[in-house]
Amino acid sequence: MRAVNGIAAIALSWTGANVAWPYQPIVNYQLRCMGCHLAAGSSQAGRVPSIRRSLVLFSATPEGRDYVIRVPGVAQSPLSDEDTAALLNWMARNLSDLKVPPGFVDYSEAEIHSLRDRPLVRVSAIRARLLKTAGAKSRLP
Amino acid sequence: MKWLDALSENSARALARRTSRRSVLAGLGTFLLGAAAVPLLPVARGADSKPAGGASGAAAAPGTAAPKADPGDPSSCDYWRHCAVDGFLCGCCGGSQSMCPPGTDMSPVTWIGTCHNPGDGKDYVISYNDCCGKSACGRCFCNRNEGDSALFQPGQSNDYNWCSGNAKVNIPYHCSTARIVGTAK
Repeated sequence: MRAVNGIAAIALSWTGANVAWPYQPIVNYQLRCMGCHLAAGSSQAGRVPSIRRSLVLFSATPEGRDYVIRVPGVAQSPLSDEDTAALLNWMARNLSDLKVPPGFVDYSEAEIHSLRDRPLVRVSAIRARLLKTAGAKSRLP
Repeated sequence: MKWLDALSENSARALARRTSRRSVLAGLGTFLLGAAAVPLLPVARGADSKPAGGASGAAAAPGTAAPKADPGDPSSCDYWRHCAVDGFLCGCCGGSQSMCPPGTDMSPVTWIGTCHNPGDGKDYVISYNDCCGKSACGRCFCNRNEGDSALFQPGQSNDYNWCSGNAKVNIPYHCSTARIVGTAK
């Protein structure tokens, strides 16, 4: 039995090199997002879109949530569906200029799973349209 | 009050008998030179460098979390923070592992990985911001690539010229930093 345990341990350590480690959302943000979106999510105007005024806004509508999950950086990240959901929920609460509203619906593993296999292609156009409609509905500057 | 006058006069005259004007100049000069020499003493200043651009979010900006144990030579490719670097080490190019050399700008957009610190046994998130604006440094080339991914995962790839993400367009790559973001947990 001990030999079996040893083999299992070796097999685990071997596969460990190829799987994403179960990090906390903040570390997953640092490793998977921060390189482009920067530490505070403010990003670079004209090059990388900001998270701070879009994530919470987009999360309020089905079209917006569809965009958030299918945007290439989310859909194609090496994170699991569960880790991706936890990361988005953490970002909405920590990297947003807009407060999470009382009725905010957290992203779930199933929701991520159902959408991320169809990454968006025309990202900028959809984002601009979403911002326009959301901006008209809200009192954002 | 006469005794005070006498005391002052006597002490001034005694001082004048014991010392010369030149000795005062020499003493003052030594003091000034000594004060100027104190900041030159070997103190690790790389550790207290401030990151470029502040952060108001919860994710700490690179360069803010310095480990207590930091073994190794930062100008060596074997140094633990360089586990995934691909380029010239800024420490050999007039900068440090957390600061760009004079005349270059740090690209805020970069790739980020983790390295194991043998000093305290923890894994750290390391941000490999490129320094841009001068031609390639050419010293201390280091290419270790641990955890490096293919180009289709840009955030995990060190093969990009990250200077293309700088605010200035098409400026050349000079060297790479290895800034600590925090512990990976």
